[in-house]
Amino acid sequence: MFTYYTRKYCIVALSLFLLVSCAQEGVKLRFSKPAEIGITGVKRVAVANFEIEEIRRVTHLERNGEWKRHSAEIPNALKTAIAKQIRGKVINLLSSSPSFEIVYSDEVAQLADDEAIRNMVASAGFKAQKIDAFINGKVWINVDNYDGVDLAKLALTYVLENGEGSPAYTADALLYWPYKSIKGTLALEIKMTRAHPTEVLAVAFEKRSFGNKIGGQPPNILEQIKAAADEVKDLVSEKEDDGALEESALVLPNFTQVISDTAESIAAKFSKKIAISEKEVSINIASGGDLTSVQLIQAGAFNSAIHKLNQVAEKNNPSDKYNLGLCYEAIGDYGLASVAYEEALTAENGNLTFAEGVGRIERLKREYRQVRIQLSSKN
Amino acid sequence: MKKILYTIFTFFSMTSIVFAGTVEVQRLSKFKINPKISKVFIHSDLISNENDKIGFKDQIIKYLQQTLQESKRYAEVVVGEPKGYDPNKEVVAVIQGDIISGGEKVTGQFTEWAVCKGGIAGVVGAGVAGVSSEQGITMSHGRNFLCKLPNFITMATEMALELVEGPSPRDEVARIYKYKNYSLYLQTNLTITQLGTERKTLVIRTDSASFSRHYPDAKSYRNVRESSQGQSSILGLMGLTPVVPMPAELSIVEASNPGSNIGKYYDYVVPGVKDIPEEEVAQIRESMSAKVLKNFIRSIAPYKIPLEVGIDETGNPEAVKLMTEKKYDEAKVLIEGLPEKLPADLYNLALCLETSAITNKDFDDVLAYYTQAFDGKPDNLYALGIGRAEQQVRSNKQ
Repeated sequence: MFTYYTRKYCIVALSLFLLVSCAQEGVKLRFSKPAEIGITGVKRVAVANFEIEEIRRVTHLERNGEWKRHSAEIPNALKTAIAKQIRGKVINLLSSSPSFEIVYSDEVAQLADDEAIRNMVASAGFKAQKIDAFINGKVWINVDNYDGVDLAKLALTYVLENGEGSPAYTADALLYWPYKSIKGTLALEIKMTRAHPTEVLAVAFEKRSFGNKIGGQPPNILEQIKAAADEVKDLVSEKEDDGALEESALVLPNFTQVISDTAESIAAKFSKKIAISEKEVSINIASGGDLTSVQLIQAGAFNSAIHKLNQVAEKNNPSDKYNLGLCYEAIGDYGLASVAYEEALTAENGNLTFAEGVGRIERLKREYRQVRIQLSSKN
Repeated sequence: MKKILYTIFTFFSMTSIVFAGTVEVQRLSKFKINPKISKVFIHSDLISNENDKIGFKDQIIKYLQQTLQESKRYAEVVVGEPKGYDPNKEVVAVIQGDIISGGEKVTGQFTEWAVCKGGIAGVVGAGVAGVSSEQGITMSHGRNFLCKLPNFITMATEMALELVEGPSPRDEVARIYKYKNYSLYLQTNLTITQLGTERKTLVIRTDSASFSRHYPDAKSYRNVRESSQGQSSILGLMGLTPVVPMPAELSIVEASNPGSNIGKYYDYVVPGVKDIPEEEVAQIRESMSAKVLKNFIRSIAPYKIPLEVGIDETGNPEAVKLMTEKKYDEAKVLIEGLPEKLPADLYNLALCLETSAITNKDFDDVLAYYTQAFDGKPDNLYALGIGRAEQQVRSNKQ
């Protein structure tokens, strides 16, 4: 058991070492990623209600192998709140995408189901100006809370006296390890329907399982590695300090919070399906060129770096040409980026970094064509 | 991590840079709100608190009003029904929505492994564990060693002391303890709607915040099995072969079973853990309100973000002094009045402007000053300023 801690901190130290030693000089760029489904002619989208089809919450208590179940009553007010919460998460995601303009309409928010949307479209009865498409959905929630006991072995060591190699023995003990856990599934169907002609444009049905456990038997080796990896991830990730609200790993998350987080992850997947999203890519900077420009690129000052690199263009340094391409790529001018990368590769054929630039831009140009088509439907 | 790297960078290049700590720079709202809107009503009657089980509504409204007023984007932020304006001439906005909150207080029992060490390392290690965590310290019966669940700090402390005094003897124990868990949850669904000749909803946001804390009851810790138990018989057998394995029935520790007659008594021990102190509750509620409203406020008003950044102290000394005192407006006026500006002055001026920029043009000025400073002296700090300003100019144009 003692080795659990030494092993855990060894894994943390090793992961940090690998992260630091493998780090390359580079810059992180954000690119637009086209929607998975090309939807044309849809600019203004309104989000209707999310119906709660089923919601079930059961608590289970176990002592000495005997289980007792208790089903909790979910008040209507809470059901409405959950439906609103899921609708809100979908709106949060879509409103930050350049693909659509969200029509915030109270009358649409009150459309209870598919039939209500169909009736409204058929009668052209909505007051909100021109709505091209509606988004609505259905939700199924099952949550089980457990209060039980694991029975597991623990090896307890007794080291007799000081010094290396002193006599020791290990005695096994079978212990009861009380735990509390929450497990469940959330199924969410999200649908986008065009108003005229009425047709379903996209449907996503996703079922997610979630679970969290506190207490219980000691972690096995895989859980120890996962815990150590999470610790490293927390250590190196840069989070904005927003009041740093305490959240203990030894407290089960709240029911509403679990539903909210799970619904958000499903909605994010749907959003990627129908709307342009962004992705972050780490790209190497070429060394051996103008140092001032490299300074600016590292600081994310791409326009200023372009200005500097154009000033030193007569030197015909392939690294400068590559870095110029990188700056154009960063500001979304893929045509000029392509020219600069090609020139760099021609000047120094076989340079892997330059070749990566050419390859990346070819793929981006293909994707960007789709992005442009999708954006043109908005304008 | 970023802060650590920045501090290291500043330390090694601080010939001319003074670390300013955190500077609050301004950023524009995420959504372009009609500039004609200068008055906002927070319609408390239309902010539903039907599911606000722990009463956050008043605090949310107060925080929203205060923060929007501080942003200086709106001339007036009024709590109440929209009235007293001419809808044919004026454009105002109203905020409404609902608040959902809840909390849980759960008690329970855990079993854990703990280590008990002898020597000075053991005593100091237990002391460090008691101070650095809320756990209880127990004592092993065989050799009266102090027992604790080790963490990174205790392990490092003990290893350092063992280098001096040599390895310590060690027992291991299984122990049980009672705990009390607190969790709070808050969610807001808020909308801001433009009123006037045209009525339209401008922004809708749903955001949530949660808080949780685990309180182990330090007084409730009990050792239920120790490695020293039966040591006399086991040590007696150590020289003999074969060693007979202990029957499974004997190794079951019923005292750790909350369902057994032996362990059951423990069910009736009410954890004597303190509740969260009142003054801390107020602070937690305030932090939760701030977190839950952060994205809504950033969507409709300019906002401040903290930035780890340096001031160039080779600039005008008076301006540097004012900036270290966070008097950026005064420093800005002073630098603007200088007949000749060094690159350091231009950089400091750009930083002052960045703390109060509220229009696209302000960010154009910030960028121009950072660029002039960098052209005069290509310093990494100036480059970072250009990067920040360029990013703002780019995102504002989109």
